[in-house]
This record gives sequence, C-alpha cells and structure tokens, in this order.
Amino acid sequence: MELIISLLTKSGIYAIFILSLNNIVMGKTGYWAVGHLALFAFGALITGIMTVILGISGIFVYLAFVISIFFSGILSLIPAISTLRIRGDFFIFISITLSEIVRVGAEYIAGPSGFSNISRPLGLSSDSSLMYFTLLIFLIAALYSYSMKKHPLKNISILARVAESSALSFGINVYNLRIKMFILGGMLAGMSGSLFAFYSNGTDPQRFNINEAIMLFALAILGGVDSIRGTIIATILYVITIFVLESLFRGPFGIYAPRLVSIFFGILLIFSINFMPKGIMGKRSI
Amino acid sequence: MKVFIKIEPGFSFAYSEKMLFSIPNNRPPLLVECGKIYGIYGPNGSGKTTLLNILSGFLCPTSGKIIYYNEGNNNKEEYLAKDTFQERYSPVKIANIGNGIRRIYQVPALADELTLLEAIIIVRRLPKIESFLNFFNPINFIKRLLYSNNRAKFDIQEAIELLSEFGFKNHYENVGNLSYGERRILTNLQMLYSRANILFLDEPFANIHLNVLQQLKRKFISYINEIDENRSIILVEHRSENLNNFANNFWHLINGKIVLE
Amino acid sequence: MIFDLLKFGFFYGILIALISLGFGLIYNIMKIVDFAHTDRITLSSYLFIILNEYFNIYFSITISILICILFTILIERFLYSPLLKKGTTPVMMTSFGLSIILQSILALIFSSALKVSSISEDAITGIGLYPRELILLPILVVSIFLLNNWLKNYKLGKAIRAIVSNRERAIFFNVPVKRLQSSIFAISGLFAGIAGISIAIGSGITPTTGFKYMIFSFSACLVGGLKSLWGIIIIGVLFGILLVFAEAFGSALLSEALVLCILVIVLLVKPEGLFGEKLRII
Repeated sequence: MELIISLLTKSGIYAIFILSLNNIVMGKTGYWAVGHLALFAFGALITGIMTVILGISGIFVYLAFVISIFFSGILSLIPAISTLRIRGDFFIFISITLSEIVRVGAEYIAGPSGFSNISRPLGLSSDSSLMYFTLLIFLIAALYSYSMKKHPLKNISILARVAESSALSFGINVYNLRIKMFILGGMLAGMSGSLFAFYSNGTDPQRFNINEAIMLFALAILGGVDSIRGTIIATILYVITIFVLESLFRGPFGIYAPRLVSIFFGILLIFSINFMPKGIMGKRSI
Repeated sequence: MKVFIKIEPGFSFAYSEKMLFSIPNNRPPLLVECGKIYGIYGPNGSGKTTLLNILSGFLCPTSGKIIYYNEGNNNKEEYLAKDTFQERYSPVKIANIGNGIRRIYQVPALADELTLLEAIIIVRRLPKIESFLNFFNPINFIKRLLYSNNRAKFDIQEAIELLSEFGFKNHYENVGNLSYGERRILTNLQMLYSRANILFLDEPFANIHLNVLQQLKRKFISYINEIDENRSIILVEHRSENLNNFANNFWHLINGKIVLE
Repeated sequence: MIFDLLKFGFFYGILIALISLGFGLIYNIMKIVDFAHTDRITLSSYLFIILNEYFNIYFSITISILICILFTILIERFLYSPLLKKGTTPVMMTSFGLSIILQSILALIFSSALKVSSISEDAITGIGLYPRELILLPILVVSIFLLNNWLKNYKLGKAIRAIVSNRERAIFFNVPVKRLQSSIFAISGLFAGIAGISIAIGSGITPTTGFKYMIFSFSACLVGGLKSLWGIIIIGVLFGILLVFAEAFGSALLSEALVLCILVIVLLVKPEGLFGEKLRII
C-alpha cells in the first residue's frame, strides 16, 4: 500500500510538471522549453529555503507553497521575455542555461546534497493526504487544460503560434499572450517542484540536473503535445521504469539503476523526436 | 466625409538610405475617408506592400506621422510615428482601433489546424470573453465543461452563410486541406466577416477564378456601403482591370512620391 | 600571484578555446550545437588512459585521437546527416540524447570514480607550466591559421556557405556536401581528441567531466557569436582567465554561475553574440 501511495504521488507530481510543459508552454506557445525543469527546481528550492532556512512550519507552510509558485512564475519571465528577440534553437540555449543556473544556485544555497527535513504543511503530513492533494491539483490542472479546448483562447493561441503576423494584424496581442502562457506554465511547474520537495522531504540535486531536464522533455514529447491522456501515459511510463529498474538492481548493483534509466530515456528521446513527433496521443507534431 | 487615417505631409519611408516614398511638406495630407475604396498601384518595387505594412503598424515611418481617428473611444486619436512605434505592439494597437483594422497578406497566413469556421470566426474579437483572466473564472470553467460553445449563435450562422455562399461545403474541414486558391478566397471571407472599419487588402484577387472574383467585388462593395457603418478599403493590385470598376480613388506610387489620381 | 593566475588562466583558456572551436566549426557547417562534442572528449580521455597502461605514450595518443575522429565521423554519417532533413532542432536534441547515453555507458563501464593517467609530468622549471599546456598553444594557433586559410579559400568558403544556406541546391550544384561535412566533423573530432588527452594527463577524468567543459565552451561559443571563429577563441581564452580567478577567489560553483550568468545576459541583450552577425528575428 505504501508503495502504491508513493508511486501515485510521484506520478501526480511529474504529471503536473509534464502537463505544464507539453500542454501549456510547448502546446500553446510552440517554444521548445527544454530546460523547463528549471522552474520545477526553483519551486522546490524556494520551498526548501522557506521551510529549512527560515524555519516556517505548521499552517504557514501553505504560504511557502504559494510563495514558491509565485517566484517560479517570476522566473519564467526570463524565457518569456527572451522570446521577444530569439526563437528556435536559441530559445533552447537560453532554456538550458536557465536550468543550469538554477541547479548551480540550488547547489550553492542548499549544499551538494540539497536540503533535507523539509516540513510538510499542516494536514498533509501523512503520505496518503499528500497523495490526495497532489492528485487533486493534477485533476484541476488537467480539467482546466481540457476546458481550454472550448475557449476562444485555444484558437487564438493556435493562430499566434502558427501565423504570428496574421494574429498580430487581427489585433491579438501575441507577445502578452505568450508571456502569460509562460507564467502559467512556470507556476504549474513550480507547484509540482514544491510538491516534490514535500514528497521527498528534501531537494535531491540529482533530480535537477540537465540530464533529468532532457529526460522529462523527452517524456513530454513522447506523451504528445497538447494531450492530457498522453501526459498521464508518459508519466506512468517514467515512474514505472524507474521503479522497475531500481527494484531490479538493488544493493551493490544499485548504482546501475540511474545509469540504465538515463540510457533508456536517452534512446527514447532520440526515437521519439525523430520518429514519433506526434507522440503517443498527440494530434500534431512538435 | 469622415476621415479615418491622415498621412501628414513630411511623411517618408526609407530602406537603409534608399528613399522609397514620401509626401513633401508643401503637399496636402493623404486622407482615407469612409465609404471609399482606394487602389494603390505602381511599378514593381515601388513599395506598395511596404506602404500597407506601414499603415498597419508593422514598419515604422522614417519621418512624419500617420494619424488614426478612433471614433469609438471619445474621438481619441492614435498616431504612428517614430516615437510611438513599438515593433511588437504597434500592429496590435492599430488593429484594435475603432471597430478594428484588418489586413490580408500577399501569401495567405492561415493556421492549418483550425477548421474553416474557426478560421473565419477568429477575425471578430470579443475582448471580454477572450481575456486570459476570464479563462480562470470558475463559473465559466464549469459552463465550459458542461456545454459545448459559448460563441453567440448568430455569429456562427453568419459565418456559415458566408462560407456556403462561396461554395465551401464542409465547414468543419481543416484549413490545411484547402488549395492555394481556396485559401485566398478564405482570407477574403475573413475580411468580409470582420466588421472592421478599414480593410487593407494586399493583392486580394490574385489566383481567384473570375466568377468568384466578381462575387467578391460585389460583396466588398456592399460591405463598405452598409448603412450606419463607417468603412473603407485600401487595396494593392497590380492588374489594372481588377481596379478599374472597383476602386474609386487611386494612389499612384511613382518616383518616390504618392500621387493622387 | 596575480601574474601566475593570469598565466594559468590563459592556458586553461586555450584548452577551452580549442573545445569551443570544435563546437563552432560544427555549428558553421550544420547549424547545430553538438552537445555530444564534449563526451567525445571524455571518450578519448578514457581511451588514452586505458591504452597507456599497455602501450607507450605516443602510440596511445595517436590511436585514441584516431578513434575519436572516426567516432565523430561515424556519428555524423549515420546519426546527424540522415536526421538533418527533419530540421536542426531535432538533430540538436538527438545530440543531447547521445550525450546522455554516452555518459551513462561510460559510467556503467568505469564507475563514476576519478580515473587518472599513470603519466607523471613535471612542470618545466622557470615557467611553472606543464608541457601539455604549452603544446596546446601552438596547436591552436596553427589550426586557426590553417582553418582560416582553408575557409577563406574562395571555392571552399563558397561551397560551405552554399551548404549552410541551402543544402538541396548545394547538392544540385555538385558541392561535395557529404565530404565537406565529414571533414569539418573530423577536424572537430581531432580537437576533441587533443583536448581529451590534455585533460586526461592533467586532472584525470570522470564520466561527467565533459559536462563541465560543455558548459564553459558552449557559453564561450554563444557569447563569442557562433559564426565568428575568432570571437569564439577570444572569448574562450577570456573565460579561461575568468574561471581561474573565480575559482581562486571563490569556488568552482561561483565560476560556473558567473559563466552562465554572462551567457544569459548576452543571450537576452545581444543574442547573436559579441562578435557575431546580427540574427534575423522573423
């Protein structure tokens, strides 16, 4: 039972993250936010700073949760504003650089092994309650993302992504819309990062490095851009793969598991980008 | 006559030292008045499309200014000059003046993923519904989950009628499936649907069959003559026979000047 | 003290410039940043250390560089070129995936412990520098002059520009696209091999060492402007000096953070790089 709860929480957290990446940032703006993990790490980092360094506990941890979401939203302004001047490959460069800066910053503030003993908010101290909370947030995010299909914003974002000049001449404020989408995606990613800090009671820097960012990006592509079902499938694949490999290689062989995970997702990245640009469930190619 | 756009004397545009066109200081200003159709013509490379790009805010005039009279907003006027020009926002600002200013491009810029109906409806803007914050309104959120569409019915009806009139049978087809000529017709239909004050048409009738072309022209003429609406059209066309029985004012771009005829 | 740091920084910068030059060359022919470039450095380091346990130093240097070049060409021929028709971004992501895979495979084989070569090298008395550092300077100078001459060569420069601007037309006009591409990759592989051996002798190698150098040289490339080889080299050397100073007065983390912050600022303010040509936005 504990195992299932832990797996479900982890799936929920990564599902929120991947949803923010492939449904909101990539899906609505068309920019390849490879280093989107930066915002995840930033959310976790701020939560760590608030609870460990500033010593917030009890009901005020919810405040820390909100503040970390807020700051992630602010950080996502950097890639958002950079889209005014750059596009394509150069956006990938800035995204990756940002994710590296956050990793270095996290290592500088939290030390090489990250924060530990992050306190959970009041009422979420048990694992099962955290699971329900995470799944609830994912459900709300997914439903909102689903309801986007019936909102005029969907068509507007498609036009802004595909035919920018046409959107501009129809009076659509493409750049503001894009910045808003980035902030929304950044806040969701920060939320998942903060939940991750609660879940693991710490910030493991291994989870924030660039290889992890690339692997999660590969999952977002594999799931399919703009697809909620694909997101869920990709997340479950990620969590299950790690679980299976970690339980296969235990004890002295434990060091092999993360390497094999990296190899697996590296191959998956190459495969899904080149041969499955639509992903499992996506309707359009990236 | 009601004036929409005034291009002041002293206006000029130059591409890296090469003067493209200008209005000398001693000339009267260039006016765009309601109820008229303006045709811009001139030799290749004289800057017809560039003029449209400037008027719709994509390019900044090198000197002088263009004034847009905004009737809806307490007659507040907007102007485009070097000091107010912002590369990303000027086109949006200008497109939202009054009931809107819309334009079509030489190469149709359409989103392949939209259906025909969506591609047409998107032209008319509903700022309240489309706003980003409104998206998070929980009441509307539940409504969206329960019901299908919150667009006004007559809006859709009008678009469907317009599409059927020009022979588009399947309104839920993707734009990506259309041929080049059909795309051109679709961009014209977008303009007809838009209810905008001013339409900038950049070679709207190229690659369109003659019968459809006549139909489009009739539609455009009835568009600007609609009662209680202040509308006018500026179009660029290099085939004079398309202009002759359509436009009633001409701007001739020649030798770096805009000559009225 | 300051002078010493300057000296070390300069030679560290030469190493970084050499690696960045590999990045820049690949960008200029294929419009991609090959993130697996520094993993080839790691590969050649490991090869050199292993070979050196059994053979003499010159033999192992030659063989490891040759294998590195061969590996680079193989990757270009069988992975990048076939995928290039899908666009540059997928190729770049592919190179990222390749980098992850290579790192993990190396970590599986060699574990993540530091591996040092058995060569003990004495500093040259009087200067305080090691021969491996000194040898990089003439290599870099000679190769930049050769490259400059080679690329300035009217026909060849034109051919490369033709490839970059329109691949299909270049093929149509009988430009030897494949051969040129492979030779540029081979040169970048050669630089990777040399840098790898220098790193192996100097500080030893772990599977993730390449990543550190990737950050530095990738930043040097982008700050210098990907299109200008001279810009890349100047910025590479400056970064080397900056890194040595930051490490001496701060920490290794500080040096990374500095370089990355410079990169972000340059990308936000002048995305084409300090020495590059202006990018076209739309």
